[in-house]
Amino acid sequence: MERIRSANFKQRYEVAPPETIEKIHMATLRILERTGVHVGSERVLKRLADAGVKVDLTDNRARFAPEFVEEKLALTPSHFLAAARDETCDLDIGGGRSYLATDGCPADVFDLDTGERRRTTKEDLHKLMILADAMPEIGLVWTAMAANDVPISNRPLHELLAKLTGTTKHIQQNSTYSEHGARGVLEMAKVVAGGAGELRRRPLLTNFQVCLSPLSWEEGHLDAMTTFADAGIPVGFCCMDLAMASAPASVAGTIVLANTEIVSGMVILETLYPGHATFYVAFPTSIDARDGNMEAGWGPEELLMQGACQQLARRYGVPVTVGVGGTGAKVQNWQAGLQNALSAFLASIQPGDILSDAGTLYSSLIYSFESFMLDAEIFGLLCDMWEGYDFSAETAGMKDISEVGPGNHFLGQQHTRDHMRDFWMPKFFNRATWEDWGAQGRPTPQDAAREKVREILSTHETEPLPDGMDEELQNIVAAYELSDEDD
Amino acid sequence: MTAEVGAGARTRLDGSTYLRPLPWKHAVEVLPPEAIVKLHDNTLAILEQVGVKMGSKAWLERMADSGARVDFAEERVWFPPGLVEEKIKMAPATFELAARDPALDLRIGSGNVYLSTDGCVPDVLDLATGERRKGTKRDLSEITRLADALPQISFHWQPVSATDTPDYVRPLHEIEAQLSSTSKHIQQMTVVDPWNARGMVEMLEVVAGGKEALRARPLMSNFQCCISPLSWEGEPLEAIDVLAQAGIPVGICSMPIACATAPATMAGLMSVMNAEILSGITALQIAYPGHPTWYIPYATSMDLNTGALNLGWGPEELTSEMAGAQIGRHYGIPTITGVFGSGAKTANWQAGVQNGMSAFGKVFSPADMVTAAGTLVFCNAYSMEELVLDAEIWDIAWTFAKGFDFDEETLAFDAIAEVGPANHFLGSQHTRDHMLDFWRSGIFDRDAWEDWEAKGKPDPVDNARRKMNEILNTHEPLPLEDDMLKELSKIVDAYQAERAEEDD
Repeated sequence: MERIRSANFKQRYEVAPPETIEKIHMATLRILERTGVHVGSERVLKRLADAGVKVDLTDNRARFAPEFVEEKLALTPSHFLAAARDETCDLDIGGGRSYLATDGCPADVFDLDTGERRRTTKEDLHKLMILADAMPEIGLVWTAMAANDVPISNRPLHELLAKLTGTTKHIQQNSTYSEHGARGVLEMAKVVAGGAGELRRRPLLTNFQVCLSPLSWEEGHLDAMTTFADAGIPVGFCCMDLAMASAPASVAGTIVLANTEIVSGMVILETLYPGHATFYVAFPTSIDARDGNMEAGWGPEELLMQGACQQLARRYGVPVTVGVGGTGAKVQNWQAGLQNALSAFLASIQPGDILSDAGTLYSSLIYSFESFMLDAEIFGLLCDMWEGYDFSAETAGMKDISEVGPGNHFLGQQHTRDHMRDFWMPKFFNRATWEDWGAQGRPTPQDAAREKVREILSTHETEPLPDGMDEELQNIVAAYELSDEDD
Repeated sequence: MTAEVGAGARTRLDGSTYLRPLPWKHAVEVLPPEAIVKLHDNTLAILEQVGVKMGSKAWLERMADSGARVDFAEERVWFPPGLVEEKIKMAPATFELAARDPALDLRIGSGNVYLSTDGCVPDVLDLATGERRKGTKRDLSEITRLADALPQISFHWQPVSATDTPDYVRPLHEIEAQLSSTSKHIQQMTVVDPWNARGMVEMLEVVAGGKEALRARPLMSNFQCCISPLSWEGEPLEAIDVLAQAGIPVGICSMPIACATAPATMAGLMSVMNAEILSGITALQIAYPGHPTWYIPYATSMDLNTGALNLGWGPEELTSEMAGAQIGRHYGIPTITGVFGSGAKTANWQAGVQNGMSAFGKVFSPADMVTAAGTLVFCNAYSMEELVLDAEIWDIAWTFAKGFDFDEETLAFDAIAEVGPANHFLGSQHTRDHMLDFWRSGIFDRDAWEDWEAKGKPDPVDNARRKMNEILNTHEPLPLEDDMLKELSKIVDAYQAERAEEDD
């Protein structure tokens, strides 16, 4: 059975005309040259200065000449290998197929048994990884939830262990923001890969770093980035601009700022590590300043930003991650279905290489096992939809149409019996008649999803790590725990 | 067919609201060009070799006179490919539909995508109680009045059947109820026989001010359905005669169901559907050359577990909606395709997914008119709250389709330079100037968790109900003159009495 469902989405819809995309690029160059970005790591700042970048060491600012930016952007590879413990799950990111990833990393979860909101644990993360391992719709995993019940200093290592033991699919290690954490994570990855050389050849991990909007790269993020890059791990750049708060109060301005941030990250990486694999991760959204509400919103503007950022990444020829599961709804209701369906639908005709964010509610603040299943249903529907249909006379059943003739029916035809099971079959859409649905106690899609979660968790067995490796990894995790003074 | 963004938005007589058709922008072609060619070839082969049934002698004679092969005993017509291709070209690419309020006239083929309420639904569903019951004439009026106030709705179908009126004259009761509840265009889809068609024309002449006035400004349009597979009954064809002669645009609709009335493949389903629609349009253009019409593809599938329509509809239904619009665009015939109509039984996650994708399918694959808003259980139950929710989805699609402004002001270069790294935009002048530009939902919940809990965890349906009640408590449609109302009522009574006597 296929372990990973992916899609070759062939449509190329564009929310913005190419000339607008060019103008956004020009505005990005202008900001990088005149305003520049904050580079919080002195080591990185010095390496940039050595490479000819104009840096101001007093306020940690780097400003990039337009030609320099263009030159560095041209170095980015168009695709890269995201390897997996199970080689059949290796992904060629940027190779033309789209994969669905989990979300990450909320600190709260809806408890599967009580339905109550509570803090996440390492065990929750592990359970979600088992689900991800079993579900073909999931191509790769993030650190879906924070392991709140372990010390902060080595938390990324605990999280990696939960992931490695939960799934053999590719791991995007998004929760590592310090050199210390990155070193530990890499040490573990080397054990699993079979050495530093093997890890470089087959990166079982990828990473991305998040810009602090507006325009600020913090020291820990940059040091983690260089640590991963030194080991040959692809590093993406992510921004989460909030229009009206950390970004301007316009769609255009927010896109410009988001693009500037991501481009600055890629330029820093390509300056220090020419030709290093990277990817574009943009999650811009907006707040509602009218009533002082700081909650991230979701509306047509978010879809326009999603589409424009996808076009910018395509313009630069780098793989792109598009968020498709970021509903603001707090339960799996009409709003949740609508919002996630619209972003996913757009991401299927303005395709992302990675579609992320499956499984959360409340703007990625709360994980939900049920939502994880439901988001996968949306992705599966879209994969089926864009596979296309054969219109040959044989498939059309021309012989049967002729036999049946006007005013008759096709129920018993051989062609009908041969093809009736080709139609898509939902897992969680309710298909019962009104009467049957009433007799069943009016179940909701999330009820069906919850049942499926329980079924998978009680039956699925992830391929275990080789004998003794678990213990070796646990030792590394323990070794990276710092006392409070060190932290 | 392109139009300026929002060119279809118009102010009403009272200046209160607008129509919000989607702007017709670039299209996503779900079918590759070779599929269109194969589909067309299959269609012509069906029309030439299998033919269609036509239950009207007058229509069979017209077909024979124009060069089609006809078997009068079998009531079967076979169309030569050349005849089909010649006649479908005669369908006009543009025409106007009138509304009681001329500001709400619709320009078909102008690059606008107009949304309607759903139609002919047997039941109403109260989402507050979960109760489902038969629809009444009063429900029809109230839903129409609600839709009259929603700018997202550009025209009406007959949302529910007025099941408290005698079925033989029900269409005329529905016309009476709707004409007084809205000043928007009405597509009368329940008139499917010549007797009711004559009543409809009589009523419209009263409101329009005579035969010629109605011909100049058709306040209603109509469409007729093929019985799948490939069968035209006599009464719908004779209804077309009455309506076409009065100048009422008549669309041609096909509603095949895969596995039941059509083959169990997308190719077979769409081939049968295309053959049915093209046979109807060919026949109409033979009988009434140049008469305004629509290509109306409504393909569905059967659920094998229940034998009912597929409430779990998914990729096939979405594809067929988008492909139907694409085929209509390919032929250059104004097109009406399906939208919304979730199979969910409540306005839940499934309803959001299905209706959201269906609506955005219209942004990506536009048609001239799309139908229809306000139902659940796959068009089997009408809900006023659902109408408000569908209108909200349409509003998202409308705002999205307009795109975003890009100029020196909106790109905010100065604001970004001024704020600089590691700061915020909360108090900046640019934010104060533009924060009202963002779309704001009246339905979505975006409260902080604590506020949402304190309010009792409201559902979007609660917000929709609040909006619905606000409209129903305040909205007064453009009134009809008392004399007209009396005249309309007299016509309905006369028709009802006539048929009641016959029944006795």
